[in-house]
Amino acid sequence: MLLARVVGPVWGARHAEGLNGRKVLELRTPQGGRLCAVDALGAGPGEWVLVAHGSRVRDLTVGAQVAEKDIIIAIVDGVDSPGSPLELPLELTEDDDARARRRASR
Amino acid sequence: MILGRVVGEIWATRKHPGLAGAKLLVVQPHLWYGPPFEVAHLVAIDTLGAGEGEDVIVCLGEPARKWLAHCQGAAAEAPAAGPGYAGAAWLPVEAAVMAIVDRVDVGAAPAELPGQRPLRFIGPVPGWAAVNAPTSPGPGK
Repeated sequence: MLLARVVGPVWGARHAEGLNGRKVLELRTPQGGRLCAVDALGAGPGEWVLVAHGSRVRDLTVGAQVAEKDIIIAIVDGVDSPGSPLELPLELTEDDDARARRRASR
Repeated sequence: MILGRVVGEIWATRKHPGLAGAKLLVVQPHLWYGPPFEVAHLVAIDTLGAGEGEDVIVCLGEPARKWLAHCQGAAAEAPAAGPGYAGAAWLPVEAAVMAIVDRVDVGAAPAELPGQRPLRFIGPVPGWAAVNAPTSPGPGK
């Protein structure tokens, strides 16, 4: 499981059948890694989320038919980590922020 | 299993029902472990009461989930998942704190033995490893 910040939704007109009706979000890790995850909790751009990885987690949450192995399992209110080397909360890059705002305004 | 240090605790109100009451810790691994994404931390469920600054051993994957389910007295095998998260009572997790470390003994300077690479730490070098510490900890790939 890892912490990541929501950049915004990812849209695809043509996608795997199992993703029908599923919301997929683009995320950034505190170290700048990029990933996409299925969201059923309603996370919004800029929010920190907890992502679990793996087909087992996927089967237990959204069902085995979903073609995505990263699932958002919690929306983080806060991280109690004074002096943490993770340096939370991380600011998104300017580019990410612009994209998140553009997506949120749709 | 990953050896790491607890650096924080996560608070979340909107979460999967299976996570209700779970203590979520942010753990910084001491050594590189090949995560699926570019991260220098991991999040694990804690049932042992680990505190910030303590070294812990984190188990990843399906065994962690089964162990947690066993601790909760629940069946490790979940019913068929329905659409969405609603009504779920199982644990969609893949990392758990399996032990709180009291002491780590490392052999004397393995870096100097032929054919051995020095331990390379992701973050600050823990006290128990000072004898083996490289002069400047690298990114640890």
